[in-house]
Amino acid sequence: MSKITLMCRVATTFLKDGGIDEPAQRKFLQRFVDANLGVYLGSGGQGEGHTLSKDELRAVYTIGVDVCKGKVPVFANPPEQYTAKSNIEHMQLAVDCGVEAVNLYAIAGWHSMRPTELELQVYYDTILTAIKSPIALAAQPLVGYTIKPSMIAQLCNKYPQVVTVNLTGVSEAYFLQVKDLIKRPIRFDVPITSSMHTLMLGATGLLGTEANIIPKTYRSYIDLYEKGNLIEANKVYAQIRRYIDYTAPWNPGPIRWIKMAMKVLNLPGGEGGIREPYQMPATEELNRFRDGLLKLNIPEINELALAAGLKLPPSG
Amino acid sequence: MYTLAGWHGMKPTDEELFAYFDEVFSKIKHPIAFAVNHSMGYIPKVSVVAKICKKYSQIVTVKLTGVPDTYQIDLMDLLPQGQSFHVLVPASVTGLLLGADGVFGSESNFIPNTFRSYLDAYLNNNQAQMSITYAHLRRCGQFVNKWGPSNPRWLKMGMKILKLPGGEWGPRSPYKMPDQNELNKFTEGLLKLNIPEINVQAKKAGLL
Repeated sequence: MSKITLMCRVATTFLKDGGIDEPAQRKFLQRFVDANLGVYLGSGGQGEGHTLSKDELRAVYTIGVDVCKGKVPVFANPPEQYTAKSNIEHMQLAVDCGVEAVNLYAIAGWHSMRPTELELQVYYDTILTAIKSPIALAAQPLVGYTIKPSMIAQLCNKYPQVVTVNLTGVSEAYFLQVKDLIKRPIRFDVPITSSMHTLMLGATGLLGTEANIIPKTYRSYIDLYEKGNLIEANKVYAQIRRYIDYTAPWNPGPIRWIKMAMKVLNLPGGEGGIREPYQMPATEELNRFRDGLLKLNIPEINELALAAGLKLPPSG
Repeated sequence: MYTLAGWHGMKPTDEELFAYFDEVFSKIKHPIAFAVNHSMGYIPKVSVVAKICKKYSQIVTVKLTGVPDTYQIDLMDLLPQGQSFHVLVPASVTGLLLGADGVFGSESNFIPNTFRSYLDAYLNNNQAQMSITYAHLRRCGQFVNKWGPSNPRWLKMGMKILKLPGGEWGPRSPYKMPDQNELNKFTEGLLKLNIPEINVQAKKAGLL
């Protein structure tokens, strides 16, 4: 039994007319069940949550719970909000659909909003008094600013429903500061980059965007790490890092390259594409992306490519 | 109208921006002040903004926030002569000289007459008055920015202590009115700026 949890903020699959593609979503999620990876549903980034109506979010949560619950962890990642009231509504929706935990971002730093400590404290107190279900607390600076480690730790110490701290986008030093200040056992989820270090420092979970495309590679990395086979784990880590570097030009919003990869590799939902404001790049760019992807020579990509009827480039 | 909100790491490609504006401007034909604003999370390319402005005649002015003066210069090079530009107070002396025909600034919420006086001085070519009023505006801007970078917090603090209409109830959440100690600090600092229009209002509010 793995002690390290692997989680992925999963893509939402759409039909060509823009509606949610439920059969594709189910197949897409099954890939995570098969690879034993937990999922975050409806994220503002990878899940295109900011484009989803409340009814659509409900559908995404319900499908996710139906496919994953009891097999792999199934969490919700409601898109970040500007007010506590709006966040509570979104989080409650996810709880009512049966997800096991809900991610909580800090106040969305829209239009240069940078909260004072008082404003952040009131925001968190209001939400964590209203929502008693398990919470994954995100330190994510993507909201527009960095939350002090002492604030994260204080919330973990004060609210027992916080079960996980998500440490994407912050440094190793930040992780250590938070860890040192928390007075109870709690899960720390860190990104894949430099994870050999953070796992050794006590991280207990990994978050990976790339797992949308290469979930089995992620699983393999952690399995090898847990077996103590660090040489082989590092080889798999290098595959993931090469993948990250390759897709970087289509960032910072990873959903662009996720949907491009889903399309070129013919993954479930790949045909329906991406919702606006994102736009699927032109065929020429997709072809360039596909050719580069295949050149990475990552076994799982090769396997997907062959299944999609693509011809692999000569290796070496 | 702002460009696409850069939420959750969204940084649009040129094509995504064009598609976004094509959709909006095919429906909204009313006159538009087109805002280039760094608080969206990115600055669109000058060439992209110029192309959009040329394509949609309902864009009557371009508002520039958080960009260097070269952005205005480059845009002017790509757009027809006479294009309207509105610039922020800190960039306004250069911006006006380059050809901007509007200035905007949140400080005018509590010193509107100083703002007016600054622009009148510019229009009357009164450099001495312009320099005095510009300094007032900048001192005020620099002071309140300690409660920034966004404006509602210091705006509502200023409205409260100067007893301006609506000042009693403060900002909406997620903003919070700071405690009395901080309000006192804000009051003292604001009065020390010795800006005539603030002094007049402070006197009315019983602060002087």
